[in-house]
Amino acid sequence: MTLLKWMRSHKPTSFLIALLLMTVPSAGLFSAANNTAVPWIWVGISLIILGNVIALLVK
Amino acid sequence: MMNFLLSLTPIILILILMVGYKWSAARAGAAGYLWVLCLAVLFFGANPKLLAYAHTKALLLTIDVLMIVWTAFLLYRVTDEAGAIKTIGEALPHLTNDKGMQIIVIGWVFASFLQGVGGFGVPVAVTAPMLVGLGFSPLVAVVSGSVGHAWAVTFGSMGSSFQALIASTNLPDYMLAPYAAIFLGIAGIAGGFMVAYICGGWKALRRLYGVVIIIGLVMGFAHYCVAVTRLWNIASFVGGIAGLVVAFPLARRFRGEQTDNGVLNWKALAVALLGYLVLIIVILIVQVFPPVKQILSKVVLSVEFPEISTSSGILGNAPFVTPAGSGRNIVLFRHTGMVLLYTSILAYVIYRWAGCYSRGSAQRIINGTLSSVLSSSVSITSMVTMAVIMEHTGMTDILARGMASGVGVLFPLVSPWIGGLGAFITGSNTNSNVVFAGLQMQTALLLKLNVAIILAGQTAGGALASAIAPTKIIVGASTAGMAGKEGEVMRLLAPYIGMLIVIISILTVLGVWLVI
Repeated sequence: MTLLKWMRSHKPTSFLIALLLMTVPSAGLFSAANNTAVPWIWVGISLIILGNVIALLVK
Repeated sequence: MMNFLLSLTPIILILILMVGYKWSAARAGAAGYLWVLCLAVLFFGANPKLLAYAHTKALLLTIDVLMIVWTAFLLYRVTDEAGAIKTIGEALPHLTNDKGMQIIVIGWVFASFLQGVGGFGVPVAVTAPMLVGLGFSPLVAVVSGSVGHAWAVTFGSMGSSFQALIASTNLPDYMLAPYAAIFLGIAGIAGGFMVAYICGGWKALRRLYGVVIIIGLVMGFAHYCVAVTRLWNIASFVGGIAGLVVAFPLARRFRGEQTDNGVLNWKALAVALLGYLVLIIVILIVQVFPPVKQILSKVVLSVEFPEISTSSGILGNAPFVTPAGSGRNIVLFRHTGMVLLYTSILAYVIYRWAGCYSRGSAQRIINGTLSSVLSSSVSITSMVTMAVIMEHTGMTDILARGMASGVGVLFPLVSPWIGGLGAFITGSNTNSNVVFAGLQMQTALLLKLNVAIILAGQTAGGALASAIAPTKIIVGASTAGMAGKEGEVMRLLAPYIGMLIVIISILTVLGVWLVI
C-alpha cells in the first residue's frame, strides 16, 4: 500500500498528524525568531508546510 | 492594481476549489495557505522573522477557536449518546398535531436550540428526519430546518463563530455583541415567517403570524439579553430554550385534530434536560461568581510580540509594519472551551448515574468527537494561518483599501454579502469570520464607518449563508433521504437565504447612517 493510499484510508490519523505538524512547530518558532535562529525557523515552517501538504493530499 | 489582484488570489483560489472542484474545506484551506506563503515570500517581502511571529500568533488564535469547537462537539456527543437529543425531539410532537405549529416548533425553535448546543450541521441533521417522520416532504423538512436555524449560528455552537470574530479583530465582546444580536434577532423573526410560509404558503402565514411574532420576539430578546451580558456563548442556547418554553403553551393552543401520539415520558425528558441545566449552572458559576472567577483567572496564556515588518517585496512595495503588542490572551481555566469541558464531564457523570449509557459509550463519545472535529480543525488552522500571514504582509490592508476606493459608500450594503460569501465558500460562519473579519474591520476604519455595525453585518451574513454552504446541505439532505438531490435543496433554499441577507444589508446601512 502506498503512503498516499494509506493516508486516504486512515483519514482521522492523517488529519491528526497534519494538525500536529501545523501547530506544534509554531510553538517553537517564537523562540527561534527571538533568537534570530533563521535555520530553525525554516525547519519549523517546513514541518508546517508538510502538515498542509498532508491535508491537501487526504481526500 | 497588481498588488490588489495578487492579494485577491487566495480568496479566489479557495472559492474555485470549493465551489468549482468541490474540494473539502480542509484541502482548500491547505491550498490557500500554501499559495499565500508563496505570495508572501515572493511578492510581499515576508522574511523568516515575520513568518515565525505570524505563525505563532496564528497558533494562539487557533487554540482560542479550537478549544470551543472541540469541547462543544464533545458536549453534543455526551448528550446525544445519552439519548437526550432524541428524547427532547420525541417530546415535541406530543404538543400539537397542527402541521404549521409542528414545523414552527421543530423546524425553527428546536432547530435554533440545537444550533445553540451543537451546530456543525446538527440542527438540520436532527430536525429533518423528525419532520419527515411527521409527514412532511423531505425537501420541505431540509429547507425549513436550514432556514429556521441560520439566525442562531453566530452565537450557537457555544459561541465559536463569535469567538472567532473577537479573535480575528481583537475587539472586545461587549462592543461586538449588541449589534450582532440585534441583526440576528431580526433575521430570526424573518426566518420564522419563512418557515411558516414554506409549510403552507400565505394561508399558513396569515394563520400563524401572531405565533411567529410572539416566539420570535421572546427568542430574540432572550438571545440579545444573554449576548450583551457577556454570556454570549449561551445566547443561542438560551434563546432556543426561551422559544421552547413559549412554544409549549402556544402549541397546546393550536393542537389541531386529536390523535394518539402515545404517552409523554416526563421523567425521561427531565433527565434529558439535566445536561443542559448543568451547562447553565457551570457557566453562571464560572463567569459570574467572583471567588471562582478569581481562582480560574490565574493562568493566562499571553505572548508579547515585537514590531514586525516586511522587507521590500519584488513589486517594490514599501515595508508593511505591524506594531508591537500582545497576541491573543487566553484565560485558560475560564475559557469557554474549558467551561464546556467541565460541563461535558459533569453531564457524563449525571447521565451515567441515571443509566442513560450503554456499554462502550465513553469510547464512542471520544471516537465520535475526534472523527468529527479533526477535519474542521485542520481547515480552521490553515485558514487562520493564511489570514494572519495576509494581515502581516499587508495583503489584507491592500484589499481593504481597494474595496474602500472601489465600493466606497456602498460598502455597508456589500459587507454582509462578503461575510456570506466567506461562509458559503468555507462552509462555516467561524471560517468566514477568520478570513474576512480583519478585512471588514480595516475597510470600515478606512471609510470611517462604525466598525461594530460592519462586523455585525459580516457575522450575520456569514451565519445565514452558512445554511446554504454545500457541506451543510449534504449533511441535511443525507439524513432526510435526499442524498444526491442537494441541487434541488439549494435551488429552493437560495431565495430565502438571499432575502435574509438582503434584510441584513438594509440593517447594516440603516445602522451606519443612524448610529453616531
